[in-house]
Amino acid sequence: MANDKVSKISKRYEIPIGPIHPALKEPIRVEAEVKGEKVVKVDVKRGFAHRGIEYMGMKRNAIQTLYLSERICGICSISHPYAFVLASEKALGIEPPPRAQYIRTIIAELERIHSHILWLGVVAHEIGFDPILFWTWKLREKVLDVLEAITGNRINYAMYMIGGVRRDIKESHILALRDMIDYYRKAADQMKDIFLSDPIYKARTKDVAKLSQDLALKLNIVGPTARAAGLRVDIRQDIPYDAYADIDVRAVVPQDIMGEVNGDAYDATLVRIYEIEQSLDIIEYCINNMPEGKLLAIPNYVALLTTIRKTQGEGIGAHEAPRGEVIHYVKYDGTRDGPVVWKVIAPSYNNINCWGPLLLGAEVADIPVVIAFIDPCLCCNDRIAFVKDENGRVLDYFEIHNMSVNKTMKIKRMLGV
Amino acid sequence: MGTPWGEVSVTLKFDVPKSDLVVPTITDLMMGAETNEREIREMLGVEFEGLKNKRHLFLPDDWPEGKYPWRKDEHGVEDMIKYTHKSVTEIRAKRGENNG
Repeated sequence: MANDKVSKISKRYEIPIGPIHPALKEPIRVEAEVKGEKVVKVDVKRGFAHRGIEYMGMKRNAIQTLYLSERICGICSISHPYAFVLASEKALGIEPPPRAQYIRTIIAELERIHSHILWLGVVAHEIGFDPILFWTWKLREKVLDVLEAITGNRINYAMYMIGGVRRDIKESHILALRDMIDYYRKAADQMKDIFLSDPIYKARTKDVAKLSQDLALKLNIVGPTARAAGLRVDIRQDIPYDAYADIDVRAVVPQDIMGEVNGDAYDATLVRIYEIEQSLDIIEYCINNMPEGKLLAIPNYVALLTTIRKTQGEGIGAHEAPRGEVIHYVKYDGTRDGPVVWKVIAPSYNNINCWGPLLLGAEVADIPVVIAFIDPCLCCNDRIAFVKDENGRVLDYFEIHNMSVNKTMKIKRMLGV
Repeated sequence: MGTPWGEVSVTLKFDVPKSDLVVPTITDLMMGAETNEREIREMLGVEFEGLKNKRHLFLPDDWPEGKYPWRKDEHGVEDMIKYTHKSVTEIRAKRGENNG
């Protein structure tokens, strides 16, 4: 009798999640087979946002491709250009001036702060903690304002150039940066309190999405997800570049902070909060030790493109993006002014590998946490948006452009830049 | 691992004859390489001996046979592209319109 009942309950059901699903911010499909509450079989299907960007880049010149690489993802809109310029500089033999290297590092760390805070909010949302989502995203506004004051945009900063950067960081920007560092030092303490000491947060994330060190190594897991599993991997530490070579960056791992490694979503939270503090330290070091000098190795873009047209070479650029290592491979053949081969490996390319093993045996309610914990970035999908004013009139490109320029001016006045 | 400047990247490069595009898999040594091998398989048409999961990774399931987006030879995708990367003048000329 009892066995009969069990066999009825233990019937398997299929739960398709995605490609479009409220729990997912971007399109991907997870097909889970469940037995009761337990997941027994998983299949991940990706490629719903594949747009052939690399193909487009191989038809354009290198500067156009650089701006295109910024549009691979809205959140990593510094990481992709960073890896692209590093790869291109290696291929072309261009050395960026020291001041430009420091500015690049500052911008990259600012991006890490906003990306990590965004992730904290998303995870809070996935476990049903919406007030925390709004609180963290309110915190995130400060760093976005500083980025807008320095670069002119909240995202897609157009800051980097092969052989340097396009804009300088002035004295007034440094004051705003110092103000921001104080703000986030206090906020990081609050975040530790709210996330790490909270019993409900602990209950929902401890032992969920548990990734062992061995499995993380076998599945090529990178970034904070690998560090949460106890692996000391960080491109800024392993193969330093730009200003990171002057700073002794060490990978943040839970065993140094808590004394033990679980590799679960709780450890991932811990690593990310401590990395925000690490980024603040790096920015502080950079603004205290910023060298003087030029911003661009080849200031004339026409001359830069001519150099590219004459140079043969290939290079690999690796940058530690907020989610893990992003690698660009670029090849120039000396016949055209753009790359003939361009290949991008984003961190989520490897990190999605862990969904299958992690979801096995997990409960249905944990699926969003497992999916969100690696901070998946499935490349922002192409989309179109109509912006209307308060009277319902559709605003055209020039009006929106003017409005955003006015807003940037307002933020610059507010921050005293 | 875990020390500054402690990582060494190794790049292995080898030629495969175009008539016989087969290389052995490394998924038995490194599970995570499955993603890379599946991508190379669909994008370049290189077969991996011993690769278990051969489903498409990024391309749709109904992608035509013998077309590989990264190839620059007759297996490439140049002929599948309609309007992208062509100037308006080229498109108009193709349609037989005058550039008034």
